[in-house]
Amino acid sequence: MTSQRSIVGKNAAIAGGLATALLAGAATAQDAITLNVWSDTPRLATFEAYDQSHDNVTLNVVTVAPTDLVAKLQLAMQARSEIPDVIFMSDIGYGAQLSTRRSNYLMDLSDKVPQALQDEFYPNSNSPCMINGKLLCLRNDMAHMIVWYNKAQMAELGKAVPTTWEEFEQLGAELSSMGYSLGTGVEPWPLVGYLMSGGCEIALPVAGKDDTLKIDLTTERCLKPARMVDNMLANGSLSKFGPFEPDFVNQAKTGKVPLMIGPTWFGEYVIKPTYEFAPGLLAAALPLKWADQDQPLTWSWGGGTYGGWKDTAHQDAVVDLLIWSSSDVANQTSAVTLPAHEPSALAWGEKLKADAYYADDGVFAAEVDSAAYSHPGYASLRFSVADAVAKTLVQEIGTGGKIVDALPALQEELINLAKLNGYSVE
Amino acid sequence: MSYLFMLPYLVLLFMFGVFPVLYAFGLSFFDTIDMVFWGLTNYEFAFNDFRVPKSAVNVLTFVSLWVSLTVLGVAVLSLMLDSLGRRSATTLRTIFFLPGAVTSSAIVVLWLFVLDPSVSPFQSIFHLVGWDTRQNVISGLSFAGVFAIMAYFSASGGWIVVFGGALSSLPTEVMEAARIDGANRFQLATRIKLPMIWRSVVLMAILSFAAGLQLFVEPQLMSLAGQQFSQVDWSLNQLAFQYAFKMGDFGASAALSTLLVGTSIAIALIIIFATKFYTID
Amino acid sequence: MSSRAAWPRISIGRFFVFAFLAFAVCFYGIPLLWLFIAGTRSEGSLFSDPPFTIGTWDVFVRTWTNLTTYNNFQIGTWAINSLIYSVGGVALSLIASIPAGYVLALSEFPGRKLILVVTLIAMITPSTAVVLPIFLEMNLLGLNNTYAGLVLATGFFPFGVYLAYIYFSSALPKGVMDSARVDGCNRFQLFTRIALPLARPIVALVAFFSFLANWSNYFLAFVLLSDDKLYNLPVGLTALVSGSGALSNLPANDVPIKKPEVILAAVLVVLPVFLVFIVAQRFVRSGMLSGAEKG
Repeated sequence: MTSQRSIVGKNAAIAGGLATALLAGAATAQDAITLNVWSDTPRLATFEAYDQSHDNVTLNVVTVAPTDLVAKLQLAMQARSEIPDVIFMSDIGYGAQLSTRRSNYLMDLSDKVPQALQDEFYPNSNSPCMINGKLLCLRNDMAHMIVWYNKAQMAELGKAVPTTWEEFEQLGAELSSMGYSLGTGVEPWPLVGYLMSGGCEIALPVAGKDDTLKIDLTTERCLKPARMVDNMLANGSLSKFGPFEPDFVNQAKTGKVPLMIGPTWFGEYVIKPTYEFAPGLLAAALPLKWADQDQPLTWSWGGGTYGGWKDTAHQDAVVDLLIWSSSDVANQTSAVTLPAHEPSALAWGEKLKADAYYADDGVFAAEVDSAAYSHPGYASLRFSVADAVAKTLVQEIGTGGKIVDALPALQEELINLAKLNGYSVE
Repeated sequence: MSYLFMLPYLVLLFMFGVFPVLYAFGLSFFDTIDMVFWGLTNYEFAFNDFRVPKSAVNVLTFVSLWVSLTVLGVAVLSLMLDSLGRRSATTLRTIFFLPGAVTSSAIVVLWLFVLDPSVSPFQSIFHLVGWDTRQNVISGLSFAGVFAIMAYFSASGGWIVVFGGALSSLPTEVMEAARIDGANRFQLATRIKLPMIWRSVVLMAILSFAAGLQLFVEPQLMSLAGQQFSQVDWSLNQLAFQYAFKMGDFGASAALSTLLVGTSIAIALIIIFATKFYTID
Repeated sequence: MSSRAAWPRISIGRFFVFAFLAFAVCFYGIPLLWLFIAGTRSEGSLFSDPPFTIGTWDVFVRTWTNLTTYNNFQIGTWAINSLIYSVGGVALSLIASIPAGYVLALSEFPGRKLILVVTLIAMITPSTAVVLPIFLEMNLLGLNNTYAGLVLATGFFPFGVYLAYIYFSSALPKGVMDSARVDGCNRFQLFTRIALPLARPIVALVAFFSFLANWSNYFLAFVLLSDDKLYNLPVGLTALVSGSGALSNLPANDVPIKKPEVILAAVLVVLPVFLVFIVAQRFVRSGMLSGAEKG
C-alpha cells in the first residue's frame, strides 16, 4: 500500500528521517545495528542474552506492560516514530489485531523462517501465528490444558485419575458430597476449554478462506460439554469462584481441590506459589477426551509470541532475533514457561524432571506428550472470545442460570463481534 | 493589557484545548489510515456497532444513579457538616475527602477486596443480604450500581470540601436573623442555606453529568480483577478507546467522542439556560 | 434524658444527623482503614484472615524490600518524577490560571465570553478524545518523553481558571479596587499588590486541586511517556501491576510483586495527598467558591 508515503506534509520530517535511516542501513550494513525492542518483564533476560552474544547488534529494550502493548503501538504508528523493530506479544490475540488494514504492523515471516525450523515447533503451537495462511509471528511458549492432581490425596481417596470427561464428571459427583471440587467453572478460558474439548465451533478460522470464522454453538458437540459444566456447577464439583479468587485459593490451600484442569504453567506459577501444595504431591496427566473421541482435543490458556515490524530497516537482523528468541536452545532452557520449540522444550524439561517439588518425573512428559493434542483452532482473533464469554456465560452462572441456556446469547455476541471486526461468519 | 495577563493561559488553551478538540473533530471525517476524507463513514461505523445502543443505555443508567447519588449525598452531608462544630466538621471532611486520593492501581486492588464477600471489610453486610461470591455482589448491585458507588466514593469528597467553604462563607447576619425568627437547624439548612448554594449544586450536577457520560476508568478496571469480570465495552468511552487503541481507527474513535462531547455540551447549555444558573457576563 | 424529653423534635433530628454522619464515616473510612492495615499483611493473610487482621513487622519489611528493590528501587525514581511533574504542573497552572481568572472577572474585552465558553467545554471534554492530537502535537515539538512535555500539558487546568474567575468576580471588594485605581496603581500593580494578597485562599485551592490532578494523572502521562525511566507513579505502578500479574495472576513470571506490594505502593501514593490536603485545608476552607454565593 502507498499509505506510508501518502501521509501529509507534517510528517515529512519524520519520513525524511526514515529515508535517512534506510540509506544509512544500506550503506553500512556491516556496522553495528541497533534494534528497538518492546519486551515484557519476564522476557527481558532473553533480549539481554541476545544483546550480549551478538556483537554486531545492539538492542534498545523498553519494558512495556503486556496490556498496554497494542495501545502504545497504535500511538507510535500514528506518529510514525519510535516504532519498535521487535515486540513480545503476551496475548495471542495481538497477532490478529496488529495485522489489519488499520493497524498493520507485523512482518510476514512465511518465507523468512525456513520450513525446517518451522517444523521444529510442536504441531499447532504456531497456530496463533498463522493468520490468513501467513506466518506472522513465532510462538514462545505453550499453554495447553492438562490434568493437574494431588497424587497422594487421590490415592488416599482411592480414586483413579480420569482419562475421559465422563469419568471426570463422575469423579466430581462422587467427591463433591465430601466437599471437594475439581477446579473452576467460571473463568472464561477454562470454560472455553471445556466447550472446545468436544469439538464445539466457537469462532474457529476456516481453512483456506481468509477472514472467515465458523461459529456454531447449537451442535451436540457444544451442548454435551455445556451440560457437563452445568451439572458440575450444580453439585459443586466445579467451583463458582475463579481460580484466583480468595475463596477458591483457600479451598485449594486446604486440600479441597484434589484435581483440576489447568494450562501447563499452572503447576509452577499457580499451584505451587498460590495454592501452596506441599512438595512431593503435585502430578500431571494427559488431557481428557470424550468417550467417543479417539484422542483428546485440548484448548490453551496463554502463551506468548514474538513479532517483527514489517517496515523495519533491518529485516534480516529482525528475523534473526525472532528466530533466536523463540528457538535458541540454550536461551530457552532457562525460560520461565514451556517453549513451543521442541528441541528447546526437551532441554528445558530436564530441570522439571529433576525437580523434587513434583510427585514424580512424569509432569514434563504429560506436558510435552499432550502438545500433539492441542487444538488447531487456538488462533489469534481481532476480538476477545474470553470477554464475550465473561459477558454471557459467566454472568448467567452468576445469576444462577445454566450455561446451556446462555449459549445462544454467546453465539449472537460472537457473530456480532466477528462481523464488526471484518470477519465473514459461516 | 488584558491579553497579556491571559497570555500563558491562552497559549495553553490553544495547545491543549482548542487545537486537540478541533483536530479530533476534523479527524472524525477522515480515514486516518490513508488520510482520505470520507464524510460520515466513521459516524456510520459507530452507529452500526451493535454494542453502542447497549453501552448508551448502560451509561445513562450509570449517570442517573451517580448524579442523583452525588447531588443528594454531597448536599446532605455538607449541610450536616455545617451544623457541627468546626473541628469535628474538619475531621469528618478530611475522612470524606481522602478516598479521592486513592487512584489507578490502588483503587483496583481496593475494590477487588471490598466487593469480595470472603475478604471484604463489609463482609457481614454482604452475608446478611445473602451474597457469597463477588459475582453475587456485582449482580446484586448491578454493574451500573457498582460503578456509581465507586465513582461516588472517589469524587464526592472533593465536592464536600468545596461546599464546606461555600457554606462557611455565607453571610452570618442572614443566619442570625433566621435564628432569631425561630428557625431550627433543619429549617435553617433547607430554607436558608440550601437556596443560597443551589448554584453550586447545579454546577456540580452539570460537571458530574458531563464526567459521567465519559465513564471509562471504573468499568475498564474490572478486567484487572480477573477475566471473568471483564467489561471492556460497557461504556461508550470504552468503545471510543477500543476503536483508537485496539483497532487503530482514530477516526471512528473521534466520531464517537465528538458525539459524546456534543451531548455533554448540549445538555450543559440546556441546564445552564433553563436554570439561568450562571450568566457568563 | 430530660433535654431529649423537652426537645423531642430537635433531638430526633440530631440523632438522625449523627446516624447519617456515622454511616458516611463508615462508607468512606472503612475501606481506607482496611487499605492502610492491609499494607502490613501477607498475601495468604489477605485471603484467609478476617479483614482487619493486622500483619506482622516481618511481613511488612519483606513487602517493603520487594517493592523497593524492584529494578534498583525504580519506584523511587517514579516518585521523584511524580514530584517533578506535580510541582511543575502546579506552578504552571497557577501562573496561567490565576491572572486569567482575574482578568476574565474584572475587565471587559473582546473575546472574553468566547474564552469562558471554550474553558467550560475544555472542562467537559473526555481525555480519550484529545490525547491523540496532544500526542501528535508533542511529537512534532519533540516533547514526547520529556519532563517539559507533560508539565506543559498538565499546566492547562481550565477548572482552575474557572475557580479563580468565580472567586475574583465576586469576592474582591470592588471598593478596594476602585480606590487603589484612584491612587494611581497601574493594572499590573493592582493585581500584584491588591488582588493577589487577597486571593491567597483561591491560590491554595487551585494549587491543591491541580496537585491532586497531577499527582494522580494517568492517561496523559501514559500517552506522552514511553520511557519507563520517566514514568510517574500512577503509570509506573500500573505497568508494574500489569506486568507482574499481581492482580490477575497472568502472565506467569517470577517478579516478586504481589498484592501486598501493590497495596503498600497504593498507600505510599496516597500519603502525600493526605499531607498536602491537611496543610492546604487551612487556606482552602475559607476560599471555596465563597464569593459566588454572595453575588
